[in-house]
Amino acid sequence: MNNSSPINPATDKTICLIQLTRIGDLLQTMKAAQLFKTHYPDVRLILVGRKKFLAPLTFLLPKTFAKIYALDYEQLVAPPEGSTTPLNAALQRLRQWISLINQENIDVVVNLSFSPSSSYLSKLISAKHHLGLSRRNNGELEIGGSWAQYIYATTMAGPLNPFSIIDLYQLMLAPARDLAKNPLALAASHHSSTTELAVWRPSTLPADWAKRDFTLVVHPFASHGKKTWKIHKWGEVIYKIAKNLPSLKIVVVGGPHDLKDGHQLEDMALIKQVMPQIEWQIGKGSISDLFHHLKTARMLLAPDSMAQQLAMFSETPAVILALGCVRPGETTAYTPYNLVISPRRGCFPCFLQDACPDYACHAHLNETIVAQVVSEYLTTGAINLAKFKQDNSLYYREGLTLWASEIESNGLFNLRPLWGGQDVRDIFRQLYRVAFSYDLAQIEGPAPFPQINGSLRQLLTQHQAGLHYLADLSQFGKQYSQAIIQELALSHPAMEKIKELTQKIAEIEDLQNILKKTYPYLSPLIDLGLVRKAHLAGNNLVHLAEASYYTYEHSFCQAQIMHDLIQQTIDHYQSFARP
Amino acid sequence: MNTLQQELDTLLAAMAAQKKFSRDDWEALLLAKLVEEDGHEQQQSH
Repeated sequence: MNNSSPINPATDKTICLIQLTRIGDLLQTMKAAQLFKTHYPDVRLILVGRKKFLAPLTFLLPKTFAKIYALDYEQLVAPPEGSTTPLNAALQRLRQWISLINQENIDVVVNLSFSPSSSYLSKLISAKHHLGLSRRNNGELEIGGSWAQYIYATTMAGPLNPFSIIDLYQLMLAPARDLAKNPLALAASHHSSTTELAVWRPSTLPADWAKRDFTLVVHPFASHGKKTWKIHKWGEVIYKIAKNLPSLKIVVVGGPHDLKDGHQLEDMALIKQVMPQIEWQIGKGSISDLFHHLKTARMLLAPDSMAQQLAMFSETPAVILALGCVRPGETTAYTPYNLVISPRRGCFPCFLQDACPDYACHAHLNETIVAQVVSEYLTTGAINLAKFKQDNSLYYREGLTLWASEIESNGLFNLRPLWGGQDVRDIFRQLYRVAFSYDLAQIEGPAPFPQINGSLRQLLTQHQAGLHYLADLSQFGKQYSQAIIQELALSHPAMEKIKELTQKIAEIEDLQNILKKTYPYLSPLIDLGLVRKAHLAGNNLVHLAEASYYTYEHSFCQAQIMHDLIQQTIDHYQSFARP
Repeated sequence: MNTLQQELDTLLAAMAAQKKFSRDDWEALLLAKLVEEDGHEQQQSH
């Protein structure tokens, strides 16, 4: 298993990407692939996805992928009706389909989905290297590549990942230095101010933006009720925007399954007052038609959904409402001219499966403020933040954060807070961003000190104690691993001693899990160490013990880096705090 | 293929016919079976 470097485009000329999740994930995959192709145009990219999600994107995907293989559940996987040996018949069809893929002489398989099916499929596709989830010959799970291990350890477990998913996909595909070549990246001399801006303007807008129709596309729907407002709030915001801008055309879009909510919206008394400004496109047309609407419009207003991912390709600035389980830092469309509005609430973001009877975070996004943000950005291409402060009471402003997307000079996507302070998760994300981007990719970049207060300082100090414990456990791990190596070097190694040392290493893992419960904001560090430990590279005990030693060494260094970053943050705060 | 494996396959086929699996489970099971067969083939060729 190749655990270290990503692909070598000089020799790896055919790369197969597996993306078995939904349309939004396919669009994110395509964006990462598109950016990769700008640096390596002679590398052939093949995509494997599900037929039902690939089919609506046939107008877009072939621009980047030389070949697309569709996993058609009904034709390839479902037990054939009427067959007396349904298992064998299904296996036969799948085997034939996979053998077609294997005729492509693939150099590297990169699995960008994290599911059991995708891991088995990755194993079945022949290649020199497999990155992402795959399987060993005995069926055990294997995660190839340091960035795939990072994704598995952090994004699946909680909301502390500080990177865009598209950046993570890029880092799985290409050397980190390629990210800085993005033409939309800020200049190296650019420094984002840490003081409050009076006026925010994106670093760039699409070249044809001013010539586009004065049209707003609104896509009020999402894959889950948690992620979007109830329809009446959408009706209120559409009404307010229409009243603010009487010459604006508003195109309301959605799929056939959104028709019921669409009719409810049309029937609202407020909407009837502004009906002449609205074009209804719910349940009419395809995703390709939605793309064409976006291409001619000035802006998109939507929750986190496929529509904002599509807006990346139509180069349409978007105002995105991030609600419920959405992690805007991970999923916001990868262009430098979007605004995100998210609630400031302890439970945000949650997990999809968390029970939530009333979606309380939805109320934090006030319709008037959303309408103001959209109206001003549409008309001026900027947001006058000083005026917003004057026009909106603290009560409403404190309930939300307004973020602006940018691509930093090092090529990493970032959401910069324009107003709304940072909570403890924002602080830790900011620190992890510095630590992981340097440690895993040697990327340095703009790193303003997080803005903390007295209680955040206390929390950070507590977690420094946790980092001490983590460093100590890592030292013990190194010690036991080294003892195993030394024992194996003897002419007659004592297996009982090796078993005992292995048991001690297993106890370290138990203690790390306990540490995670006491210091939950250290979970990315601890989980990454555990995932690495579970996927040690090596064919014999000596190699595995050496890999174990270096994994603990790495954990020790990461604990030190985080400790130092926290200390610098505290020192900076104390140098400005009142005595 | 040993008797246990044959019995397992018979059971799986029966459950599939009765649609006892979710789509995701069934799909993962089929793919896992192909990985297992590949593993057996590689062992035998060595």
